[in-house]
Amino acid sequence: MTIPLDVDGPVTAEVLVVAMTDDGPVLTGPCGPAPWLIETDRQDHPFDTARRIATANLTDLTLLHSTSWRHERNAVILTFIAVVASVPESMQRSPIGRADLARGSATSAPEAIGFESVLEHGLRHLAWLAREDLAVGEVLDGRWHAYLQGFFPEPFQQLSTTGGPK
Amino acid sequence: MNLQLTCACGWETSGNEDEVVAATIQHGRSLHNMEVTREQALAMAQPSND
Repeated sequence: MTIPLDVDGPVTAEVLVVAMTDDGPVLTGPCGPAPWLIETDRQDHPFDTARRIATANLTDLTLLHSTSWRHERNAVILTFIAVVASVPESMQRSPIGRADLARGSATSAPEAIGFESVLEHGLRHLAWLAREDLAVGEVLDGRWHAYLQGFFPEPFQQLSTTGGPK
Repeated sequence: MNLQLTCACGWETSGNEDEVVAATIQHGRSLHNMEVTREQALAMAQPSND
């Protein structure tokens, strides 16, 4: 039986590397289109560790932001969305689709959280940041803003007295 | 004897003992912020079919 090399420790950073391409958003990363796990040292801030490792391995890092946490693998998993401006040929990519969020009750966490739900939550958070956080909004290009617009429900429209919505 | 080793992320390496150890230490440090020892790398390595 093969024992894989695996990260360990009480807090693990999970980086989801995403990019906008001509074919739409893709998941990518130096370990392929999958969660990229990074150990954090007890004395270091997890964000500093994630930024150091991401910066060293991603040539076009545009944005790094924590988006959620969960308890898994006997550790706290801190998820980060990393936006890169381009995808090197050496990095595999996979199209990103929409997914349902994992739901718990009003006072409990979801019993299980699939990767697709973690990514969906990250992109919803990114959509919110794109609107609310000037620093984030400025570094995302028009294609990202257009894509993230789809994460918001259509606003109620004013009804006119002559028929359809204005 | 050649060895092979697989990371949980899917990365694989193979070669002689020194090559596998060096590549694993480098991969762990640069991509996962892990400090892998030679002993740990060898404990996870398997004989290669190459």
